[in-house]
Amino acid sequence: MNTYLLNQITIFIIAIVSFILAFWVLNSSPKNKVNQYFSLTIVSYIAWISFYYFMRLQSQISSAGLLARLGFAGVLIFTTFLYLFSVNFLNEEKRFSFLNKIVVSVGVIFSILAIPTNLIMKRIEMTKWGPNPVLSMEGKIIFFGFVFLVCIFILALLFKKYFQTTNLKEKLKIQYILLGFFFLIMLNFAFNIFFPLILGNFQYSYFGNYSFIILIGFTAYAIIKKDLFDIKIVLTEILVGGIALLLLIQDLTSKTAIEYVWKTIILVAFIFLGHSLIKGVLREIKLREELENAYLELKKLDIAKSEFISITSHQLRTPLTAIKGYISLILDGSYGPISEQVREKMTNVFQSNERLIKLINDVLDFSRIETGRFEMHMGKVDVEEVISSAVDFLKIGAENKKLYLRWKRPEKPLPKVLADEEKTRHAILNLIDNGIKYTEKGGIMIKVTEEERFLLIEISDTGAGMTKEEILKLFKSFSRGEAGSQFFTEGVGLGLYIAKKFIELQGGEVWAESEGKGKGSAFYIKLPIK
Amino acid sequence: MKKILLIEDERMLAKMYQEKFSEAGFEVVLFYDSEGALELVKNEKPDLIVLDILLPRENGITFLQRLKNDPETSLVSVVAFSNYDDPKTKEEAIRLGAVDYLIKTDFTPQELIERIKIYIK
Repeated sequence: MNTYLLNQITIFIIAIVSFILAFWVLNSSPKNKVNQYFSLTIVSYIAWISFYYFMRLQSQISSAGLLARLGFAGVLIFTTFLYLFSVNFLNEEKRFSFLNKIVVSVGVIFSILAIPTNLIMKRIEMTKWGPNPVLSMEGKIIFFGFVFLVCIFILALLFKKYFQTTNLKEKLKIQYILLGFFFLIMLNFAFNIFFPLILGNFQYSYFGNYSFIILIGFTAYAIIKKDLFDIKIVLTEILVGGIALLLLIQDLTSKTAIEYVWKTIILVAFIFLGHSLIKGVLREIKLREELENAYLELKKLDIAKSEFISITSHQLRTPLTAIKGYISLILDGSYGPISEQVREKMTNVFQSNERLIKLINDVLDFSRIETGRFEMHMGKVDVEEVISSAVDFLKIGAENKKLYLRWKRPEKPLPKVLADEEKTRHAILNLIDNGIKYTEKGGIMIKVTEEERFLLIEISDTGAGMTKEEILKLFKSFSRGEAGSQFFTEGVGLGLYIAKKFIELQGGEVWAESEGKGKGSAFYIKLPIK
Repeated sequence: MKKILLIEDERMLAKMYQEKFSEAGFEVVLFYDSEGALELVKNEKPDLIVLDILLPRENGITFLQRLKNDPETSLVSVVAFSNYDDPKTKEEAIRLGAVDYLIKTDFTPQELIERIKIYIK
């Protein structure tokens, strides 16, 4: 394939692609300055490469000269629009309003001057590859200086924005443009510097011009697409595409039929491979994104749930406070004497109310445990004192059921443990209370023994006892719904679960033992001594 | 006679506590929200403030902050008294200088008085 045909095809494709890009970008947001400047950049780009292309076709110096000058003007206008686009794209047009004026003035003035004067182009020479413009010394400085400085400025601005912005989407957009610039520079270096200056081959110099289409392509994509893929995907796609292209070229330059066949097979196989590779990567990215979104949703839900529980429990507690308050005032005679019968009934109401209050407290604790929003306030805790106060608190309840509540103090005072006092108290209260509930005759006994690194609290009762299955189910919360889940009365299910969690949060253990139905039970709390 | 400022938006509860506090021998000033409460503290210098947290306009925490920021009122003892049982709010109240954060449903009015007596000195 000769260069002439190749050139024809290339410019044709690039012109078409450029027009499509210009239209696409302008169409997606016609009123946006960024899109407008971008389209103008593309139009001036097409003008530039068209002028240059037609110049190369000329056999006469005069016509070639005119087209060359128009080409130079085109480049200057293109650079100006590129500058305006970049500054607007990065939202810095106000900051550089003075510089904007300078760049536009310089660009317009010199592009106008480039056409009728020899300021930029001194003369045009005929080489074996067609007309080649020769620039004057000032021309080189002005022309290359302007383009170079503007490009450096744009790059610097891009980098600055990239490192400054915390918005991931913006970062990605800038990455795309920088990638476009990278390819542009590489190709330009290859075709405009390496080939001509080092190899002395001007044949491909216009390819350098065409390489701008890559920058334009990447930029267009960055402007329009709202959801950009990770730059790694793009690079993978480029790599696969590049290798496919190379294989295609290899294929087309086969010398024998057999070579053609197996190279085609390799090409096709590679295309399939590359395609499934890219699809696989895209799928993984999508999955990761979905997971992340699901996680964020869950966290939001979590917070909403615990706020809901806090507010709801507050709302539920308000009327219960009124009931608790007024009934207790009635019972202690603030409104006059009451009969024994009234006292008895009022006491029942009071106790039912207390149950409700406790249930709400348990639900609140439970929801906090589940969402992990519990803060431990560790300190030196005197376990004996905690047990004593629990016993004092529950003594009356036990006496009402005609049960004994014995707290056997150890002879040697117990060492203080590092624990959360409130939670330990809560757990101990719960276990003793549970013992009282499930015992009809006899009573509860509490013992503490000091082991090597633990305190062992034993709360045993002469109550109903439990089978092995019942022991297993005992500390499960009501939400661990198993088949035939028990109906927990008086909040037993939640209470034990919470007690266990509270102790476990402090590094301890809770368990229960029983010799069987009717043989009583024993609950154990193990707390590490630190 | 010791003076207690009670800021509580639930009318029924407010009246109940006011009754009991009066019966126990305290002088009670009752506010249904925090508006104007700061001025009252400056003028009448109560011995204790019993402060609800979830109030209609300004919440108890913000009021507590204002109280503590003003040198004329910062030394008055405040007991936070609410059914809002949120660990962060509790911490914030204590950090701002409340002497305690009590949950209403944990106390009958008599028990509350026993508790308050500790903080009124």
